[in-house]
Amino acid sequence: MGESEVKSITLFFFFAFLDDRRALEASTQAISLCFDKKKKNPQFNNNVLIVMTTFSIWTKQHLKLHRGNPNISTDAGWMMPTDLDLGPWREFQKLATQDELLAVIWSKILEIPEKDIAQGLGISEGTVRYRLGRALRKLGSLAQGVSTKKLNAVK
Amino acid sequence: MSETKRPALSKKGQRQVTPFTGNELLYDYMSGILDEERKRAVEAHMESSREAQLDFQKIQIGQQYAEKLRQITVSSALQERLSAPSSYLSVLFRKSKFDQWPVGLKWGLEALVVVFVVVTVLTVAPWEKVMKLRLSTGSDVVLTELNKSQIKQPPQEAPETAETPQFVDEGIKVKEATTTPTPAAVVTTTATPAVVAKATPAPTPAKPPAKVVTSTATSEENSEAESTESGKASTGYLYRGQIAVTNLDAVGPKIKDKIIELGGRKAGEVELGWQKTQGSAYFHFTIPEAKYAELQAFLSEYGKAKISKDKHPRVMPDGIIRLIISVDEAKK
Repeated sequence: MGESEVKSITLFFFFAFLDDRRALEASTQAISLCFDKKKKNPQFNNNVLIVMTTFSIWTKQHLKLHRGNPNISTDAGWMMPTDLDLGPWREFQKLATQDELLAVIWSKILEIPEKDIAQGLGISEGTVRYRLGRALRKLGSLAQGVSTKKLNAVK
Repeated sequence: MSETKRPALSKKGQRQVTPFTGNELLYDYMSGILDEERKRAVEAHMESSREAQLDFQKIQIGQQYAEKLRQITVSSALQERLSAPSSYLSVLFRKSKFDQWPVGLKWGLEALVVVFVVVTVLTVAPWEKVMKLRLSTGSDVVLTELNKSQIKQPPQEAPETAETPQFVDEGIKVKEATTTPTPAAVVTTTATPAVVAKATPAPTPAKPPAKVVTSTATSEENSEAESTESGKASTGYLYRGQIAVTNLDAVGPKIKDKIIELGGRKAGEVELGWQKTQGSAYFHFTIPEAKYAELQAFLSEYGKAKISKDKHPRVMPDGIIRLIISVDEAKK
């Protein structure tokens, strides 16, 4: 468990909850759980471990979450580019199903390979890709308002 | 019937994908994981379907937007904070979900903890020792100091035993003491072994703060010194009293005579029956404890004596008590 894993876990909950307090609380729990599992089995794949622990903590906490009420501030320690519009993501976080939301975060934001996501969740890679396809379609429709220039600049 | 053309069912037959499958394969197509045949089939589907083109565009935009979201990072300070090993208390709070408890319950619990701590401290703390410490500081009176090196030396001369006051008068105020006719501040003989008696506070500012009285070493004094050394452990008593009499000039000498008759000796600096103020005589003396009742009975003949027994750091020899009695002229 290194800095990148800690960062990944923290970012996962940032995007999943869009709530500083909940994100930090869940991150603390997930990091602690990750450390424990890694101690028991040092051979554990870090990506799989991240998927397993974040999913486990998310499952416990997401029921208490009222999606669509973001509560984030840069004071909490998030570093956001000034030109980034989080509006589409807020909408997506509110409307997407749990599978779609988590799949996009793991695969497209944290860049965890689909194989590791599938292993961590105990599902097939095809299922992961199916969820990603649906999720990106939804996210794309919401992000269409965002300037194409800006998006192309990223490319 | 069998003449009708049917699409081939296998891959080799180049079967076209249905619109549903074509749409579902758009993401795979974008990811570039389809084989050539499937790729061509999806491309053919996209050319014929406007819906597929729009879907593909949405997926691309979604992908680009998600990539842009990667720019969000976590500050190193936050990372360090989260990486730091959690303390036992924080784990306890987390496991008990303390932050989710109702506010009233939290406050109640906190109040309970505070009360418990306070009660425990009050119960466990050795208050007797603390009080003794407080009382002993500043009120310690060194009555005698025994110089052992001098005790070992042989006596040079047989000195005359000087009648010295054994105790410093404690009832006299500073101003009043300056009017004392016979102060007898320091009485010194060259006799050894010597017993040095020191008493504080000094009765008058004019006199030296400590009074040194040297006298021959008698067994009684030695025992007294020993008892003083262990005086911190035991507690002595002082009888303080007051009596109002009619015709003090006549009664005062009678009381003095009675005290002497009962075996009393003056203590302190002033003589028995010293006229403290106009209409008030002062008796500071020691008598055998056995005679105390008789003295009380005698005093009751002249008036109602109010005598109280107070704790005092000075310990008297067994069977001897010390009294300070003020005899005042009764008001008419």
